[in-house]
Formats: sequence, structure tokens, C-alpha cells
Amino acid sequence: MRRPPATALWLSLPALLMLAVPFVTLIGLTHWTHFRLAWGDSNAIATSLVLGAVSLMLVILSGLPLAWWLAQARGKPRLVAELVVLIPLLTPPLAMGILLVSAWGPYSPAGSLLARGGIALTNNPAAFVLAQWYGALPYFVMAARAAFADVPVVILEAGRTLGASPWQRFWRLSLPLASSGLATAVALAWVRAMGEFGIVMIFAYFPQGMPVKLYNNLQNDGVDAVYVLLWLLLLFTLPVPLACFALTRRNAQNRRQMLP
Amino acid sequence: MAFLRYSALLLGMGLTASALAGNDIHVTYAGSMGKVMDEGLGPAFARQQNSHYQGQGQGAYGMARLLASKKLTADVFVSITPGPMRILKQAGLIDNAVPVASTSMVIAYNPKGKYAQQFAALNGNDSRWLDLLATPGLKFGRTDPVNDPKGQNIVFTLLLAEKFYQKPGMAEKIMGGVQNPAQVNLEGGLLTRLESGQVDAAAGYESEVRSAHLPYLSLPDAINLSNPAEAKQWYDTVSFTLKDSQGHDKTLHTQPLVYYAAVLKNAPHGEQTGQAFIDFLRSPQGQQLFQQYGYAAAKGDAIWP
Repeated sequence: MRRPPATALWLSLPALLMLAVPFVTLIGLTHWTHFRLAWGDSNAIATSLVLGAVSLMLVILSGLPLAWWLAQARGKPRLVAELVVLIPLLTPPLAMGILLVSAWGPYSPAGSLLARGGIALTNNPAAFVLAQWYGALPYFVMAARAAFADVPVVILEAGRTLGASPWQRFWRLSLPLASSGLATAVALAWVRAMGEFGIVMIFAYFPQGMPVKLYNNLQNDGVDAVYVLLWLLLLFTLPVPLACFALTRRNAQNRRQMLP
Repeated sequence: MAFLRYSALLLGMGLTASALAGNDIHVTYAGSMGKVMDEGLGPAFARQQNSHYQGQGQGAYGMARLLASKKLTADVFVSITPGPMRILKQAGLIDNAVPVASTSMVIAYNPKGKYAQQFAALNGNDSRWLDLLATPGLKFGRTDPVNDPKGQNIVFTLLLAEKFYQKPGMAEKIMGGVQNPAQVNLEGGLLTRLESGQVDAAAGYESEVRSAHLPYLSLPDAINLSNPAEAKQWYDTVSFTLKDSQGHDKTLHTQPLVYYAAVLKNAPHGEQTGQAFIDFLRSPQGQQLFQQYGYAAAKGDAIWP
């Protein structure tokens, strides 16, 4: 394997240092001898991980077809769809939460319709999942679309000529060829869902995941309780993106080996 | 060369900012005071002193803890109830805190909601408002007693009301549990729900509800927690418990709804600047601004005699 030039490493140092400073500080600030969870922290971890996994599934299921279509669409329909994805992406999470309350609250048109079916989206697991879904979906679609766009058009054209259906082209060609980029998109969606605070604090304050618990720990016990939960948040949420990156690397290696 | 020039420019801007900082003031306050601080008192003080005002609001306890752990510095801290001030006193950051305004618990309601007419026809002199709040299907909102003094205060108000009107069990019937997810939100979430008409009624302070121009139901002194004179004899007869960070029960008691202000000993712009701001809050002009934003006059004495 070829190594990147040493100059690139030197030029990377400022960025790496800047990113590392707060966490090196965190190591120093943590009271390792009194490292213990505040009451309810473990509930918050379970809430974030379990409901976050549900949201991630929904994000992938709903986002993949959209991203694939966006990568190939042309003209006005694409522009409209792009705007529909970009607008929530640009909307600050706090404002998004406010909009969700108005759009899905019990007295909104959508909310009253759901209420007739006995479903309420107020501070319950469904509302929490919806908040994470809104938070992560636009990021996922943008990243996945870029991944699909990298798949050479000639390969898809060849598939079509050989009689592959759209489903076969998606499943057998686009998905495997774009898998590295898609893994990054999944990692991004997971990170976004786990850290979601702005939407959640307005729209789904309960059940309380890790970000809201961080806020409450600060209110009730001060910053030390925040550090403890932050360590656990990193511990439990890092494996997903790390696994995604490992997958990316493995795919890249396989592809290199396949080349003549 | 251009790079050098821009660096020099940036450096110059930094120097100018720190030179100007001499007569700046940085005020931290309990989140619910945003309007009166940032639109009323802060700008008026800045005009009077020909200085620059910077306000920062957040949940009172969280703000107090950030200040106490020196993660944040400010010249003045203004908050409701003595609780957050005690955190600063323990951290050795303040000597005392003086009352600057007061308020009372009220029930705000959605003017376009389906219960608006019924609320408008009621007053706090009899217990009909309790029955209305307990109506099945009525959506009542309040903040979290776990992290917000206001969330605790509405629990006290309802507990006092069931005693005052002799309606045992009424508080529980209305609340459905102290931390009932169907009712409890963070401050911002509750305000959003009230203003976008997604709740029918919400617990609030008279000051903020009037600032927001929402219709509300006033309650008698015996239950609105505004009167320090009632504290020992009557308010203190109710309490409730919450879990602390170790999971143990802690018992909460009422605290008078008085706004206190204190100068911080590590004030970045000097304790004198901080004191000038507090003097302004207590001056006739400051008190008039408080009143204009729906606050009542300061009640009682400094927290520590």
C-alpha cells in the first residue's frame, strides 16, 4: 500500500490538534476516582441506543430510495426534491423542533388525524424516534446520494442493456459499488441521531436519551455529572461509525485486489 | 503580505474589543427573564451608562452551576427563588443577593383553544378552575420539576389549592404524576406548545405570561406563592419528593417567588460595574421597567441577613 506524503500529515496536525483539545481537557477534568453514573443515566443510555437503532433503520429504509433516485434524476423534479431535502438540513434543530410541534402536535391537522387512530406524538417513544428521524434523514440522503453518484453510469447502462430491472440494478450494482460511501452515510446518520438535542428538547423531552440527560445532569449536579455521561455516550456510540469505516476500508481493499 | 495585513487587522480588532470591554456588562439570568432583561433593563442600563450590555439566559440551576464551576463568568446573576443563589454562595462567589422583583404562579391558557371561554369566565376565588383543569382530554402543560423551579412551583400551587379549597386528591388528578410525560416539557417546548395552540393551558409566572401577552387566570395569594409573609405559616405545609442523583428521595419545600440579583466576586468587568447594574434594577426607573414587563415589586429582604 502507498503511504500518503509526510507533508500531508504535517498539514493535518492543526486540524487534529484543534479537534483533540477539548477531549484532552476532558481527560484532565474527569474525576476518575469518583467515576459514577447519576440516577437515570443508564436509562438514558438504553433509550438512546434502542430508539436510536429504530430511527437509524427508518432513516436507511426511507433514505436509500430517495438518495438513489436523486443520484440519477434530472431537471425540475430533481431540483424540487433537492430543496425538500436541503431545507430541513439548513433549518436549525431548535426551529425544527418548534415546527414539528406545530405540524404533529395533538391539535394540528396531522396530529388530530393520528389521535383518531389512538396515536399521540407527545413526549413518547414514537415522538422521540420521529425527532431523530427528522434530524438524521437529510444528512443521510445527502451523503448516500453522493455515494450513488460515484457509481459509473456506464456500469448501470450496461446492466440495463443486459436486461437488468431497476430493482436488480439498484440491488446488484449500485448498492455494492456505493457501499463505502453508504457506510459513511450510515455513520453520519447514527452520529446525528445520537447527538440530537435541539429537536428533542422541544418536541420529545421524554423519553430522555443521553443529550437531554446531559442537560439535566448539568442542571442538577453540575458539570462533573456531564463528564461521566459524556464518556459513556462516546463509549457506546463510537462502535457504529468505527464499524462503518472498517467496512469502507475493507471494500476499498477488495476493489484494489480486483483491479488487474 | 496580505496574510500579514489581515492578521494585523484581526489583532487590532481583538485589542479594540478588549479596550472597549472596560465599561461593558455581562449579565446572566434565569431563562424566563429573557424579555425584560434583553429588551427592557439591559438596553436601558447600557444607554444610561453609555456602555454595552450582554445578556445570557438559561435554566436557573444550570446557569448557577456553570458559574459556580467557573465554566462561565459574568458580572451579575439574576434568578428567581433563593435556590440558585445558594449554589453561588456555597462556591464562595457571592456574599449576598438582594430582591429586585417578584411574581406569582398563574394558569395561562390558549386564547384560541376549545376551553378558552370557560377559562375566561373563571377566577381564582373558587375551585372551578381546578375542576376545569381536571377535565379529561384537556391538555395541560408545565415544566420539569426535576430541573426547573417553575416546574416545582406548579406542583406546590396545586398541592396548596387542594388544601385551600378542600378538594383532596385534586392535585394528583390534574397532574397524573409529578413528572407525567404528557404534561412536562422543557421551558422552550412548553412555550412553543402554548403559542402554537398544542396545549389548552399551562403553568406560568405572571411576569412571563404578561410579557408574552397571553390570557391567564390569577390565583389568590394563599396558593400563588408570591407572598413571603405566607411562607412559614401556610406555604411550608406542603412538600413533595423527587429522586436525587444517587436515586434517593429528596423532599422539596416552597421558596418565595422573588427575583434576586447578586454581583459575582470574579466579575470580569469589575464588581463596581455589577453593583451599578443591581442599583439600576432597584432604582425607580428599573422598577418601572420591571412593572412594564409584568413583574411585581421586590418583596422581602436580602437572602442572608
